[in-house]
Amino acid sequence: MTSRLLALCVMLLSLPALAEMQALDDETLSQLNGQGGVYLSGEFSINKDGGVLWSLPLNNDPATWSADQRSCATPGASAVEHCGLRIAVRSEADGGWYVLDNMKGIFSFEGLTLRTRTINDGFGGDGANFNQDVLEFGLPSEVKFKDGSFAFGVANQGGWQNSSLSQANGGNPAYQQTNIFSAKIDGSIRMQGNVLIFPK
Amino acid sequence: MGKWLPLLLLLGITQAHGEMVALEDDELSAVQGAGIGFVLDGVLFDANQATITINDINNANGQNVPISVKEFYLGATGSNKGAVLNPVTIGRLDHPFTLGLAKGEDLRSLRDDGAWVQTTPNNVSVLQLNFPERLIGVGGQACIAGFAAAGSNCSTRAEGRVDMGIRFDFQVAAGRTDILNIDIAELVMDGSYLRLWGDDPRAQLVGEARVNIFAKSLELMSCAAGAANCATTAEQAARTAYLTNAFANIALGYGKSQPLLFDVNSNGQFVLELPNPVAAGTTQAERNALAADFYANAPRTNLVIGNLNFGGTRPGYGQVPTGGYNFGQSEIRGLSFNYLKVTSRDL
Repeated sequence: MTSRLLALCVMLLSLPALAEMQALDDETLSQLNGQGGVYLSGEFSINKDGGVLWSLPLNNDPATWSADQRSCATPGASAVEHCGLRIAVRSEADGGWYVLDNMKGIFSFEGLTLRTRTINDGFGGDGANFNQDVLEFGLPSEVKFKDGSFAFGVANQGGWQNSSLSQANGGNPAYQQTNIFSAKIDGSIRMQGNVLIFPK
Repeated sequence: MGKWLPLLLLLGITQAHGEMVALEDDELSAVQGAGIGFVLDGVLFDANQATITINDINNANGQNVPISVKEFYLGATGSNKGAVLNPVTIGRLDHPFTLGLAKGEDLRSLRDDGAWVQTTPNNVSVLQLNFPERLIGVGGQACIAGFAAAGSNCSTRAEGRVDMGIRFDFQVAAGRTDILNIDIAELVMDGSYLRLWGDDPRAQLVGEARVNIFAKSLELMSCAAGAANCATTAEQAARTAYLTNAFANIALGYGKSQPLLFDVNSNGQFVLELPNPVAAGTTQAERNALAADFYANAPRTNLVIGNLNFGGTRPGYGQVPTGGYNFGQSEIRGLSFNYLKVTSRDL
């Protein structure tokens, strides 16, 4: 593939003196192959220093917070902690909400790839019969987490409200949220392999 | 890529004399909205280098009991409890995982007697996530090698089976950590699915789930390998429960009359419910018809442990342990939920 492109480049370079640019004819075009695929590595950090909704209070007692303060520290911890992103979903017209709360952290990965691949052999004999193109999503071999966290819970309102404050002070005593569990992730996780995607 | 060449050529040639033509109704009706299939090709997962902690689970005094997640892995069979991890291809190109939308009347579920029956209601659009399918007749593979009772209708072959494990360290109190170490060998989950759709009268998301778990062996150990009193084979054996040739077919919901309702009520509490299947009937005859359909077609839950042993040692890979306490075979078959409602409550 590269040699063909190289030849094309050389040809293009050697021509300018004697010829002007010309559209490629269909036959020439059809001989060109796009070299596809994306290789991604990167790092991103979400809500490491909290969001815009809440600022950091001085302690972990909700009764002392002002209307725009919230801490998402682990139960029993003394130090306050910024709150991360919150996603709330209601699956019943008059029901309560599933909440994915306090999502934050730094994630970095190396070698996430996206390309197409023709499979016509291998896979224990299945490949020859399959014989079609698939989208190959290559997992990064390693994902690093730093202070990654999330909490899964249920609540009676989509948005978080401070149930320890009166309504006059910007809270809502009727607000109820139960965290089923929360998780913290630090360190690196090995994740290798490809996800092959195709129409079925 | 070679496929595109003729297409490009064709486009080039036909450009001059062909223009776009609208599809006729009968041509359109033959187009079925199909989903995507996916195969996990050569995957390996190992979180041994990460520190994962689960919080917000409290003891009676309201104190947090942190749970550390360790030895979390997934790899090819033969891993020797995660010691030798190799990549595994889960799902086959002709029997992949699938994700897509389908009409309720087009979906089928495998009944215990081998018949495919419709369990989802008509005239609903169902979002479904399917694990590799189960096969009846040609090409069926043993779901558990050397254990015929688990059936031979899996599509996953021997090389597609998975070893996985996880260890939970419960930090119950200062100086005390309780451990639950789970290692599963030759795991297959063919025929599992999750189907979701919207129920108009209830105005909520409802669904149906089938979870099939087939495992050659499953070991639960109550100590961390290598820790004090957990180093030698005998010490580890004394703290291990061995399940050999175990499988579970867990059926939750029968879409036609008993969909699985999983929602949060307006008080902010989690509710899991399997409603009474005859509740929709207004006359005795209607209720009888609903009940007859439910008993005939609703998938059942089975739980079979080929051998349960506490404290023995396996003479070889996948073999029934010797020594210890042998509880033999235990089974629950044909379990059907008439009604189930589980609600969370704050402590």
